[in-house]
Amino acid sequence: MASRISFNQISSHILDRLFMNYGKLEGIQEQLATGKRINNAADDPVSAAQSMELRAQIDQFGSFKRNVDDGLGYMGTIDSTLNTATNIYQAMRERAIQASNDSNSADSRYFIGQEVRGMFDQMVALSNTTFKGEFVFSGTNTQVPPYEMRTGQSTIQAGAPINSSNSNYVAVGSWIDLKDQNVTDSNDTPSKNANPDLIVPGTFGISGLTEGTDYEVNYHTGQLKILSPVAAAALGAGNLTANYSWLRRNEKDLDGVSNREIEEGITARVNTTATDAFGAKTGGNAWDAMIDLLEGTLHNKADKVRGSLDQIDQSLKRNLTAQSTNGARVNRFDSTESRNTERQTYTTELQSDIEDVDFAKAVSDFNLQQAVYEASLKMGAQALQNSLVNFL
Amino acid sequence: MGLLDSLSIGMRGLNASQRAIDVTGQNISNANTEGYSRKRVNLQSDAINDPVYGEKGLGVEVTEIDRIRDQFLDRQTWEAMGEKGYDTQLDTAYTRIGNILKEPSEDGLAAKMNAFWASWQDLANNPADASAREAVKSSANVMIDTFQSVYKQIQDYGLSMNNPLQEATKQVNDLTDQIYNLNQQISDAESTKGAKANDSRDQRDLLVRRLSSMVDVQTIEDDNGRLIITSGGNLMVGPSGALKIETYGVDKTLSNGDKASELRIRFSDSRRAFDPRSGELKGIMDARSKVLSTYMDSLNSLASSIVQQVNDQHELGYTKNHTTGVPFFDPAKISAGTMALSDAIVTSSDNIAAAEGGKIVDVASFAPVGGIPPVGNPVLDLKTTNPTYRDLADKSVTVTLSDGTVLQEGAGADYVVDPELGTIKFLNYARYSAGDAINVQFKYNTTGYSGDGNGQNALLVAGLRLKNALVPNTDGTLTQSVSTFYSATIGRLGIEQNQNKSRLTTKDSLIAQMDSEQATTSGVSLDEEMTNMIKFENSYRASAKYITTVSQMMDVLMQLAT
Repeated sequence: MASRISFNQISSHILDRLFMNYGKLEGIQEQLATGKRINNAADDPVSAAQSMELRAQIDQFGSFKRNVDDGLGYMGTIDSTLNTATNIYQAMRERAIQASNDSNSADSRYFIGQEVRGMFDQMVALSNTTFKGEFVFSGTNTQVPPYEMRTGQSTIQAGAPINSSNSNYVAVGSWIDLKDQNVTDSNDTPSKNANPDLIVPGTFGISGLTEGTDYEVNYHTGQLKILSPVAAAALGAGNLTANYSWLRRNEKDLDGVSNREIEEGITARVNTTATDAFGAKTGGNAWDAMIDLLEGTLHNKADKVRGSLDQIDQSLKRNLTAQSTNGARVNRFDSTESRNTERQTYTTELQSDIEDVDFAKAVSDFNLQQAVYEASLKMGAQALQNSLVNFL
Repeated sequence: MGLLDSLSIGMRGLNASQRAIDVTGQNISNANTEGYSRKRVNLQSDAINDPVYGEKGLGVEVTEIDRIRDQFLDRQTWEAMGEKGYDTQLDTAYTRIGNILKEPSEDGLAAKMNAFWASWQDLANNPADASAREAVKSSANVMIDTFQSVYKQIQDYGLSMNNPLQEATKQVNDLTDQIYNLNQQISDAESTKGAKANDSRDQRDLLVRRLSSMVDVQTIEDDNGRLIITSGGNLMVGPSGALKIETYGVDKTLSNGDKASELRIRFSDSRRAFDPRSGELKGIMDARSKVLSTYMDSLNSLASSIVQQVNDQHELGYTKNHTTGVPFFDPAKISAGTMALSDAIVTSSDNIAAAEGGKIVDVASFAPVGGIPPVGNPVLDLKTTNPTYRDLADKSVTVTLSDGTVLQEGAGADYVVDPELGTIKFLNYARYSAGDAINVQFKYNTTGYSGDGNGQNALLVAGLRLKNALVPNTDGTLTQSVSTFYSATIGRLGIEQNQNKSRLTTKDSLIAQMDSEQATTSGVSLDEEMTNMIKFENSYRASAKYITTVSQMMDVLMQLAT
């Protein structure tokens, strides 16, 4: 004998199955609407956790990409600066060769000197190149310019430095360190960090006195020597004022290393320091070379001009070395960038595979489920209508 | 034996058919009544002893009206109902937590944490840039807000469980009360032998079923037909009454310091805690004490790990103000609900330590030669003792006089510090005199400030996302970074939710199957009732015809008499 089936059993079964089918339909609809296979962790816990890891990785690749782009911009600025510097060095070298020729008169050397002075100023401007408001050659002290042209004066008091024979007069025949004197900086008064190490030839003057006969200047060390007692005596017991411009290398540490994280745990250097590009503070740097050339041309000193030639060559070489080091870094960033992009694409694809819905499959599932749901509705409606009551 | 006996047989037939039709009518009417079990009339042929035939039929007798129900199946269903009620509550909690955490998505906590770490990377690129500093501050604020909001939502959800708990308590009391009353009715109605309080029993079974979804139910029926119910080993409905339960509040401190009350359940009379083994009541309590608290703890571990790791690294670095030892997050607030930026960072984003520092060295005790410097030159230069005593950590200098008095730092107080130069300037000679012996405690950084353009420390902070800092294994090695810890938490939530859901589905289909089985036994089949109706209508008709026939026979006899 068949088991008893009551009306309520049938109706609750039909309802259960309708709910179930509708629930499945709703699930596929949600996937289609959001485009995601995983809409919350319970949809597929393992994939959800994986997907979150991948998301974090993709985000990180985004950071690396920004780091690399930023570094490339930074190094691009350096490259074009150094490139211009190369051209200037070459032009300067030509002028130096021209000026070293003994056939030059003092005047023609002076005119060459004027031209070199223009190049010198351009060089100072180049050393102060910025990228996004930061001085690229200042190491990590990027808020300060590495080199600055300053104009001002030193007031040398009578009696300084102390001369045993006559304390009232400026000493004759010994070097006076200008930076030990009261230096007034026209840009920055009172000057704290005035350090007139490198005095720019052609700017130095003491009123009433003539360079070469009355006094001598060491442009590299910023020292002054009064040559003639007559000149000194002529000044009397008053103060002696020297007006001049000087090039100041910032006192702060300019050799800091600036890095970018370009891959997970891998940092690479982006900056070229002032020392790399223009030479150390002492021991013959690019500025020393230019000052010799300026002094030689403006003050008609052929030996200084000839001496500068070798130094300019060295500066050019230093500059080219810096440029090629920078170029090698650019190459490294370039190759890392393409690798990062590849990995980012790959990871994004992987994440999409895990998290995103396969539309073709979802649509076909949806259609199938819809057909099933419709069939269950139709069959349910018919099954519920039947009863013996209808036939009595 | 006479014709009157025959008439009586017919009448009893009519009666029986009518009773059967009545029962059919009751069945049809209650076809859709919840908890109704179909009834059946038990008929028995009646006879008396006869000297000739041995037994002589007296027609039909209605012995009893049976309730067709499988009691054993009911007990199984009640057990499954309790487990289902429990799992349903847990499922609600898991779903709710999932919705609060909203992972994986573009605006969940994971995305905010990723943005936080990425902002440090960006700061490392542009350490001097004020906007990059502000970006770190704002991404940290967004992350903190998300932590707090997520934590608070879960916490609020936990508190909101007080309401359903109260509701459930009331419902349990109502149900046990009604069951007790029905027990009385049934025992009264069935005091005469053979009487069955069928409809009351149906009602009682339905109430027990409802009760079984709230709490676990164990039942025993006593000799008087009363159902004795225990739950969690405690008597709920006894022969003399139903035991009431009640809620009571336990004080709890929230993450923002507010006090709130968390409800628990106990017996009203004995005040003993009521701990059912399953059911919705237990589900609500466990969702609160086990599920919610687990995920709140995870969020707290995550938050405290981020605060501590970032602070440790941050304190090593140099701020734009050339100070070290500055915390990024408030070091006193290390839970997800309370975490906050430190005062220094709130004041200015220049206090973000992007620049590389060395190692912070703690000088616990240092007694400068000569003690407090002379009034004419009130500056104590720590460097004169040790050239590395400079770049002091922010607010790390404590000066103590020989009598134990601790001096106050500040422009209007006892001394001011120039941390970069490592000098202490004494201001208040009213409190001490030159030459007094002092003890100085301070921390200093082994490397000096390396410039605004140095972003090395920001890079190191950004790298913390991948550093294993959580979940030690057996030998104490930490196995998870903040990033993996959180995705593992989300993974675990999904797995637990799915396990619970599959248990729930199993219970659901088990109950559906048992209900269907019960319906096979006790459900009303209209077709069957129709058939019965026709059957009993026919037998009624036949009995009536029989009575007419007997009546005609009597008429024949009457005519003979005239």
